[in-house]
Amino acid sequence: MPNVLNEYKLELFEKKMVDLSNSFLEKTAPNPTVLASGFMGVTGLSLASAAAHGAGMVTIKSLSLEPRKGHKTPVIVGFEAGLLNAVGLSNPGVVNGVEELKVAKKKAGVPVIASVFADTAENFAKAAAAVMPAEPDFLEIDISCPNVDSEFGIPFAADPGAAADVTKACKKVIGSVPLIVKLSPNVAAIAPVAKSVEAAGADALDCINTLKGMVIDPVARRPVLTNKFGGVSGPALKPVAIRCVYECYKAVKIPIIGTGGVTTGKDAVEMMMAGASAVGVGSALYYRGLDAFKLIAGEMKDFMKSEGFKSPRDLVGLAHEN
Amino acid sequence: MKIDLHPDSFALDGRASFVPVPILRIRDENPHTRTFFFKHRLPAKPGQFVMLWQPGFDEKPMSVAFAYPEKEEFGLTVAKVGPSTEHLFSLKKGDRLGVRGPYGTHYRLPGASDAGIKAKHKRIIMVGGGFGSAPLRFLTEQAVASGFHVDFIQGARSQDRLILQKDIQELGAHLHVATNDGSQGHKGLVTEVLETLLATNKGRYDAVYTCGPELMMQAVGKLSEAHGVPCQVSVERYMKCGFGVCGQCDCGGMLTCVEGPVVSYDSIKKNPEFGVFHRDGAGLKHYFK
Ligand SMILES: Cc1cc2nc3c(=O)[nH]c(=O)nc-3n(C[C@H](O)[C@H](O)[C@H](O)COP(=O)(O)OP(=O)(O)OC[C@H]3O[C@@H](n4cnc5c(N)ncnc54)[C@H](O)[C@@H]3O)c2cc1C
Ligand SMILES: Cc1cc2nc3c(=O)[nH]c(=O)nc-3n(C[C@H](O)[C@H](O)[C@H](O)COP(=O)(O)O)c2cc1C
Ligand code: FES
Repeated sequence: MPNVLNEYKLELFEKKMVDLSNSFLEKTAPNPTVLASGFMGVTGLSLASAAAHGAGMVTIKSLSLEPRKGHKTPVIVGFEAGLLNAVGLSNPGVVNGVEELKVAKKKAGVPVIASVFADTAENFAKAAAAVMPAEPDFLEIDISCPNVDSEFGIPFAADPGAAADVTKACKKVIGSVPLIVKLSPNVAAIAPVAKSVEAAGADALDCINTLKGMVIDPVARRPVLTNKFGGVSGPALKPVAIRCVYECYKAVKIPIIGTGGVTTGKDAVEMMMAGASAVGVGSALYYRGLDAFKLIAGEMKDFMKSEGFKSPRDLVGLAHEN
Repeated sequence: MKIDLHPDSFALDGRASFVPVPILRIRDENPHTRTFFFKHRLPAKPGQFVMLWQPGFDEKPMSVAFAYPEKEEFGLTVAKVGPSTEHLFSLKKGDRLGVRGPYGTHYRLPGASDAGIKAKHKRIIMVGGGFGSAPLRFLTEQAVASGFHVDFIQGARSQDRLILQKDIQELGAHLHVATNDGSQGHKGLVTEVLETLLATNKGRYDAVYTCGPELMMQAVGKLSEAHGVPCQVSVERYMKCGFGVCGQCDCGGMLTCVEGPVVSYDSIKKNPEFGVFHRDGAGLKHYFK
């Protein structure tokens, strides 16, 4: 005979349990972490590996119409509080990339985000259309890479009008696949860009890409990266990212992936309280290895348990109430 | 609250930054290969690699061939194959380069706590192809110091491509040579020499260690497995960061720079890309032939 009291206790216990599963634009992920574009995910099997290691969603390394070798090495270097990179958007091109996305869709078992970039709004749309056969769960457009200025000019994310043009062009060719626009911190004000892409039809934002920077080797007497400039990521980027997410959350209604410097569960919580509905994780892979996703999710859970939160969605935007 | 990890504890982590390293001396190994010795206390283990930066040129991954942290010295044995290695060959004693690392997994001798291989017979085999003999020389040094009998099989197209023979012999290893053209040792493949050793000393080897062209390592792995001897291989993939970030070194879902380069044949034999293809700096596939 079922014990009524025990059942009641179990129900109470379950109510107290933290459930990390997270919905983002109607897709469900096992937790709020998202593998950020440019980390691990050059191949479908690598995206699947990130998912197996605990990523809630995975983003492929940004794809262009043609294959690219990227910048000459060194393309990445560490400094006291983060990483500086100028990989230069190396990728095998959309034709090969779409096959990698298909593998990821089959093997990852979590929502898969395609990412593309191009030199014009028209080519952005071409690249976006080219990855659709893989049926990605989302399409992200990288209009914010700070490391290819010399080739592509100032990123589209630096100008609200240009950002909107790219958003509209892509929106036209991707049917019902939700569009995420990745914004840049390298602007005087991020909110006007966020508003502009929202009005142009963006379904979500990813805040932020890297912050332009430089590292000089005093013995070699030169910038370390062959590209000289690079993008700052990791712990040094975190307060900038939190601020950007906070400002965008105030400015728009669409959900935000908060990316930049998230290394621990506490960082992820901060990001969500600033207004993020999911949390990008990249450089943490350097600091904490492949276990980064599991560690971050575990620490989030501990925090939520001790603070009495049941679901990640309860955290979103909380900092705006105080 | 149990959240004690804060990024502060990650700050000033120097694993991804360059250390300036002057060239101490350069040794010719053969017409295409040189060993560069640098001044730096590099805490490397056999099979690990570093990223070597030639300021003003570029940066490439290189396996550690010699490491004497107590003497503040390490050495890289480099084959001249393209623009970067050619540039390196133009450098002189005293020139300063940058190095970061060591990175990646390392070979594990039988009996080591984490090796998963027992040291029953205290006999092991090395199979090196091309510059693959360099990290195996380093491993041999460690093995001999731990009392192992080492049979070192070295292969190359011809005699003028062989390297480090004197070093290997001076360590007390038993050197066996195979060249395709028969200019030194057995005329044929290293696997033929390996087969003979494994068959004539059946059940008397603890492990086989190999480094070299991937198809050679695959053949060595298969042969070792057929004789019931565990084997460790070193997987080479295109590398940019070396610390598990950029994803360029993926081999069938394995991040080679952190989950490798050294892995057991038993674990890599199921990998859908091992021995099949590798990717270049753009991520395009190139099939092994
Ligand atoms: C873990 C590891 C350890 C290595 N250890 C040694 C060593 O001890 N001695 C040695 O001589 N060589 C070693 N290599 C190979 C060495 O990195 C390449 O020979 C070198 O990068 C060639 O550059 P290049 O400009 O001279 O020639 P390229 O013409 O650019 O290339 C020649 C070959 O080297 C490969 N290669 C080029 N760049 C890279 C890269 N960034 N990562 C991986 N492969 C690359 C290419 O795919 C090509 O097959 C190692 C590679 C790896 C991944
Ligand atoms: C090596 C590297 C490569 C990157 N490549 C891309 C890319 O191709 N597309 C993109 O949108 N962002 C790219 N980024 C930016 C990241 O996705 C992310 O926005 C940034 O690193 C901040 O997050 P983090 O601090 O967690 O690393 C890259 C970052 C790094 C460090
Ligand atoms: S070389 Fe960058 S992840 Fe391995």
